[in-house]
Amino acid sequence: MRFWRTVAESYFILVACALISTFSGLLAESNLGLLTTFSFLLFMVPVINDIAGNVGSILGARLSSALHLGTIARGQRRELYFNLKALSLSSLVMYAAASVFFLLYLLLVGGSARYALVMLVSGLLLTPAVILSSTLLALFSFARGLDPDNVTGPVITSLCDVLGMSSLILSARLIL
Amino acid sequence: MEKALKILLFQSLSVLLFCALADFGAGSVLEGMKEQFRALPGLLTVVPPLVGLRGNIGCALGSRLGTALHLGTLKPRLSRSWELVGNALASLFLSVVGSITVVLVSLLVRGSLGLSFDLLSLLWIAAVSGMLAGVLITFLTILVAFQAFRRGWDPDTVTGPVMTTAGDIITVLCIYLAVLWWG
Repeated sequence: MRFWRTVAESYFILVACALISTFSGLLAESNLGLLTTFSFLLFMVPVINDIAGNVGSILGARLSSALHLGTIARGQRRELYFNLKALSLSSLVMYAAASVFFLLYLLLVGGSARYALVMLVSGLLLTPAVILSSTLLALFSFARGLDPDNVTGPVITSLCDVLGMSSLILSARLIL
Repeated sequence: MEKALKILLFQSLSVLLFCALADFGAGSVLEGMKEQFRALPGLLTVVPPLVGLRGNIGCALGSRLGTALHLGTLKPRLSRSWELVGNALASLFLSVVGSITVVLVSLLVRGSLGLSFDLLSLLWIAAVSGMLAGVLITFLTILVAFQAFRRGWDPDTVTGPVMTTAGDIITVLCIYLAVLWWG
């Protein structure tokens, strides 16, 4: 029956991705004191993780299309570099914009402006990590004959949960 | 700047900006839950996997509906066709069963690291939030895919980012509701 086929095909990839995200949750909970004392950090979690997740998914999907079309191949790197440049730039612009927006919010509710700096620094740490990991994941899954469209999206989003949480905690420890 | 780069930047930045603004909503709910995170060990561990799960289910449903709409096997209106009902039921089923599996798996990881957790309340939270969020996200995905298709937008481009972001807010809110309900 097609109901069970859809369920079975999705179930394992969903649980596997959730397992990756669990480490983001564990990391958060082992820093529970930090996150609940400076609770604006909790506020930033979805924003930081999602910008990275979206940038990674867009890059993964674009590289996957280019690999399928053959515009990225051995000796043909222009398309690859173009995408890396564009998505790195998008990521940096987004973290800068989100930090400015967050700064305005902090000024409005009377929070410390240092939180906006934490967001900016996590974005700076996160951008190269996301660009590198989604590029490697797209190239690797294409080389292994897996369809990057089905694999990279969910895996990158989950991976970005972990990378995002790590960079947030790291920059919070540096700045706060 | 090259023209292709400008176009790509414009498109990706508009989607990203919309999603980031909505994520501030999810963030404010999380911040409001800080007392619950202190009171219920294991709760913060299961939040990222549950949120991610729902986003992925919404994306997959959106992409299946998008394919069926493009192929013409599904018309953009409510009907009792298998393409619609079967897909919706599959995503609802995955939402509930997936949430429960996710909680069990994350608690297994937690337990193997020697950390404490509250099994019963977390299973309750997984089941209730899985049901609630599953229904809301399934309906929203169908609505977004149909509306996008009717207006001549590509449902494949629209549903993915929209559902991931909506999934964040709806899931976080439903987890909060389930926690409050458990008491």
